[in-house]
Amino acid sequence: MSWVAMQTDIRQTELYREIEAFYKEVRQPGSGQITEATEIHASPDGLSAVFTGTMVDTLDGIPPTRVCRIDLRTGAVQVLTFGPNADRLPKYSPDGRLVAFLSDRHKSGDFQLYLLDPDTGAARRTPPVNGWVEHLQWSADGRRILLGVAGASADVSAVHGAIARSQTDTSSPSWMPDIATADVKQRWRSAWIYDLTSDRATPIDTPGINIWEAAWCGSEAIAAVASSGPGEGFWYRANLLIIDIGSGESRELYRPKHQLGWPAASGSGARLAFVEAVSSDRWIVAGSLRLLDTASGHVTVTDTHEIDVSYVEWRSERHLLVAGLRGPETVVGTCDTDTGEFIESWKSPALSTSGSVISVSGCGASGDCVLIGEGFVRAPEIAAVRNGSYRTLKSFDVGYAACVKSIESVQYLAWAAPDGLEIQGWLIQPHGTCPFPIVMNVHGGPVASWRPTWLARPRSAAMPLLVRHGYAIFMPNPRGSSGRGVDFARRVLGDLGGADTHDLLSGLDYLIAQGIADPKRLGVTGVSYGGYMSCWLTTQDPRFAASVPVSPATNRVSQRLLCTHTDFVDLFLADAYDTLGGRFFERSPIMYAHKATTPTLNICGALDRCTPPGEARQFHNALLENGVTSVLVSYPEEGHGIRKFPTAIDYATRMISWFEEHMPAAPRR
Amino acid sequence: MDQKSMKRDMRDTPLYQEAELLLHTLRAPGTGQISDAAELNVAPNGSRAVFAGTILDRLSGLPPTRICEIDLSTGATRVLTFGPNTDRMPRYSPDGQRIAFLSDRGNVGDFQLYILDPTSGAARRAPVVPGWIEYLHWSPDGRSILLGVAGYGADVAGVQGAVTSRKAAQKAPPWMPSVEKGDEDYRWRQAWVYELERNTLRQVSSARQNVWEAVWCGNRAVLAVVSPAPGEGFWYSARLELSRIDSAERFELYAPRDQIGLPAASPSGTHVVVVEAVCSDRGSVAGDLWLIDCDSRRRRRINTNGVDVTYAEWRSETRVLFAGHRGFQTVVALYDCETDSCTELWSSQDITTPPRYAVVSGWNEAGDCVVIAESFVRAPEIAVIQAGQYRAVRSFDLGYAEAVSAIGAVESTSWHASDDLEIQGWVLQPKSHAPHALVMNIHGGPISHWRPTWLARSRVFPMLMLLRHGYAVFFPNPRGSTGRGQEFARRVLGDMCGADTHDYLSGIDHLVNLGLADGTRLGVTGGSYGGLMTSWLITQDPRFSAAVSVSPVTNHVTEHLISNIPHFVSLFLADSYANARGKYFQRSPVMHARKVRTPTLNICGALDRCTPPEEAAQFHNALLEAGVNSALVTYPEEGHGVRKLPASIDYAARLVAWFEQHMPAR
Repeated sequence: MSWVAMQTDIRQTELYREIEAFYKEVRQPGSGQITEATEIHASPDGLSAVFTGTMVDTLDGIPPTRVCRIDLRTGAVQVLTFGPNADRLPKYSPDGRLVAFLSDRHKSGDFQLYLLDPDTGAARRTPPVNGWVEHLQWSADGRRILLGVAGASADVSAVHGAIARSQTDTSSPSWMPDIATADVKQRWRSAWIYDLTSDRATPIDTPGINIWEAAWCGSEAIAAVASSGPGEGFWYRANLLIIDIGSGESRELYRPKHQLGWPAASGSGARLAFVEAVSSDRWIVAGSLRLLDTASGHVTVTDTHEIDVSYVEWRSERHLLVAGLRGPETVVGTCDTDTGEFIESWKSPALSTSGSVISVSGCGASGDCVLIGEGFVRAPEIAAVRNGSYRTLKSFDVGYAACVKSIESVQYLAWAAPDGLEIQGWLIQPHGTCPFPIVMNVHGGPVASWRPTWLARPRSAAMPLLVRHGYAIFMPNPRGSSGRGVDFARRVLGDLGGADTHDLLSGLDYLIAQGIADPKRLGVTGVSYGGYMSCWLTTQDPRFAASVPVSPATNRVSQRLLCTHTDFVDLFLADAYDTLGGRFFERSPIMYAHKATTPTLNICGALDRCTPPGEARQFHNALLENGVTSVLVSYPEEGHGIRKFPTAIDYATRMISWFEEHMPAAPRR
Repeated sequence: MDQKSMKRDMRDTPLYQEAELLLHTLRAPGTGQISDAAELNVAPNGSRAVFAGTILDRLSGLPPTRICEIDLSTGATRVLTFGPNTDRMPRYSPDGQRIAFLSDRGNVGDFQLYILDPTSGAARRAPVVPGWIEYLHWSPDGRSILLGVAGYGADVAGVQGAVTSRKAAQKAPPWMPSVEKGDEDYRWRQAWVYELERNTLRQVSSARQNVWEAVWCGNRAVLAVVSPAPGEGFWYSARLELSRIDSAERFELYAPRDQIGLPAASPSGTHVVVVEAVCSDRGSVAGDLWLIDCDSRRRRRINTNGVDVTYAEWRSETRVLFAGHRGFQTVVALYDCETDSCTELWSSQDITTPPRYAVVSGWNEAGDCVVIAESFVRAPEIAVIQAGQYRAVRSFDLGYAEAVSAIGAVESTSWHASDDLEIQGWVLQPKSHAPHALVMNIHGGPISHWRPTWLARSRVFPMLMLLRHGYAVFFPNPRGSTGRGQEFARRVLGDMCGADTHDYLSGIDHLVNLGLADGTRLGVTGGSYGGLMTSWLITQDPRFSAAVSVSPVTNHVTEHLISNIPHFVSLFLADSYANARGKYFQRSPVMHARKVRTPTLNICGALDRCTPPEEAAQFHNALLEAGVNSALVTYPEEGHGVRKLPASIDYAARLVAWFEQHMPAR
């Protein structure tokens, strides 16, 4: 068994040091350089933009972020805030004179609203709200700010780590129990209005309504994605409401078939744009663009050229800036809501935008925008799209290009699943000659996708390092993935672990047939749904030489009863956990552990509330019981997926050593 | 929702303060008084005995024990050790001149061997073994001590709390992962021998054998209960093995059908006895007594006259002193190998001996012995049983007699289950008039039982509180329980949550019919299997007004795959979790949560490896989803059951508050 994978402390190993050196190269800790950017917002005059920049001080914890500003003419960047902790989500006021942002500088994790004068750099804290602010939006007149506020013990979405917010106050004795009941008021999410003139923040009084997302809809109302309860599971059944900010009275505008996201109203509030999509995770919503007339309630579906839309922004009462994914392409366009005409302004198969979904920030009314672009071999950069052309304004590459020289090629492939459906995916090949040992990396979700992305974040850095060690990486987008339209996404609904299984296996068959993959050295890994698939596939097919499931679900009954996003499991299995012999059992890897033979490295975070650590443990124990080589690695400070340093280094080290042990790329030294 | 039992900090509530005050009375913390006793060992001449006496400084942590010695003629008691931490398991040397004991005074939880001179009071530590010592035995010649050593990080049995013991001192950064591959060296248990003259230690068991229990067999051989691997689950198929300590020679004496424990060899080592029993928990063995000839390996089952044996020691080459349970009784008897006959020395229905099962300590060939004795209404006392006569020597009552004045009656009762099997149980009534609001308390195991025990220990203390608040308490011993013979115990094997379910319900019917219980105010509680059954019963029958499920199993699949006792689950369900329509699912409370209406308080320990906290959480979430009033209380520093102070005060207060809220006594 792999020596590295078995040890608790592996910091002295060669591989650990190599990975640590990689992170130092691409992050330059302590240098004060920005190495990553997100949440960009262009100023109203289009001359500058603010964004959230990451500067790594030490490879320790989650790297802090700062509010930064870029001059869109010169590309000059200025850091506007100095923490401590994290500063994020900067938004210019409509007159461009103030920047609102969120910061937890006062108390880690407790994000509150701050107002910054970008010219003087002076920032002031607004009165704190009960809970932590998740998002904000200026009113059109610039006199108020809408705040999305999560109660102190609200569930945290899987995208943000799904770590339980503790009710524990640190002053109580260590023996004292945690209490859970049905009625925990601090789990609810609400909307607040901050008034700049009076410097007061007041909640909108909406008892019994949990507000996940909200946007101004005219000057006296907000549009909200809301549900009748606060648990993460309720999100899957959320409706679109319009809420009067004075009285709190609400009216249902739209009840979707699937999930909702990104509500945005035109300046007058007459029109409301939003996205309806089959979704597996809150904050990962990409699907059909819908327009709603707020007076009549009439909803129209807009043709966006088969883009799965994840970003909408009104540029005038009539024009809507839209961005999203279509197959391998990231596409930006403008929708004329009077004529229904959609004009694409930019698309790229090689670059996409940073963040969990595609997003941009508009300038002018003609489809121009700024964005943070990145790719498999391109570090994050701020770019402007003007008149259809993409221009890099500022690259944050501090060493990435050199680190990924070991990548020979990146290709987008398509193959046919056994039922004839076309499936697509990315292939990253190393230098050298085919066939390669190959690691299939299955994305999370299942409704998500692989698109061009910078491979230096904790969740993906093992990939370029595997390439450096001689492995090819296969990143398939099976049925259910975003970017292929709602019907394609819907195909995984109710059939998780069904036909999607064969999309993945047929992808490997295709790579073997092409002479690219060595059938004796096939590995699989993935996080969340990808972790589930890494377990599931090894119970369904004996071809895998090694598997590294991360944050997996392995027993759908226990996951259903212990996770926060309960309805997700019901929805994607289209069954109930207490149906004896039903899909909760038929699609659980533990039920087939006796068929598995693949050596498996199970990785989980002890704080994960999305796929709790008991999931990885159950599969590990079931494998051991069946005589299969298995190791369980549990990170005490991680939630859903690996986000912190130096855990990320440790994680990549263990994964690579597991594949090197069980399916070596080169003769062992 | 009940605000009282649901607030996080209960310390300012009258119930919490009442429980705390009551424990102050019963335990007298800070006064230096002994409030409980265990691990009694009599001197070879029968004049004195040593024991682990509980002396509380504060109502905090696990009650520490000290080595105490009692003069059996006068009852005069003196404390021989002073910690810190815990001193336990005193054992006189065969010449009575020295006392060996275990202490973790150097490092909490790391028990090592100490040798004490009782005259001078001086104690010296033997060389340190790599692990913590669980038990010790003097060799018959007094020159060596056999030690049971558990590797740091080994799991602790369910009856001891089922937490994972601390690994060797590590200063790992907080982010560093735990890495498990299932066969870590530190999980093994081994036998070691300490030789007093040379002051040396050596491991005497094979590196490939996990030793659960070992005793001397003569001076140069060891008799041991062993498995080929260290996991708790392997205990269920452990075998009896004899090995020479001076060579690698070893041979199997007995491969049982069920589980074995309590091996004991005659002084010369020619014969041994061992108890074979259907068991649910390691450390909890009660059953048939077998006599085995070490040369021929021939064995015979001793006719114990219906006693499930829980203790055996050789008093000569031909005589075995044993103790055990028969129905409601605790029995002490002497077996003569030559005549193949048993003589009952003493039995009682009213009093019994702590801790888990009956234990005595004998000093002569006649079977005269000392015991720690107690009852529902009697605090622990040390007594001598000589020529069949029971004589109390020293009581540790610090106020219990007064505390139990609220108890109106203690009765044994029996009834017929739906299949006509006779089932027994105990009923404790308050002083008020029947019918009473009744709380049924289900024991763990399922192979275990209720007998008359002192109600001041953390596990049953809430029952004393309930009685004082006007509730009747019912302690049933359904099929599977100890004391009714192995066929009775075996009836729960492979059928957990089957026929046993109706033993409880028919017991309650019986008490309602007698006019003792009010059929509209029935409550249920229990820990471990008792927690499983509490959760299970409310899914099967709507009669319960309130339930308090402690350290339960609620989903047999996760219990199998997350706990450290997967073999227990497959044994008691006789099925496989991979059978999607089998008993793992059909008999899991979570699968039936939709049927529940009973308000339920779910209690668990975050460190529990026996019934992990995921079990209580799953049922709680399933109940909430079914619209049932449910609360989940997780104690961060507890394992299997709530054992420490002040968590056990908090637990008692919450339990009583829950019943008072949903089925008031008055």
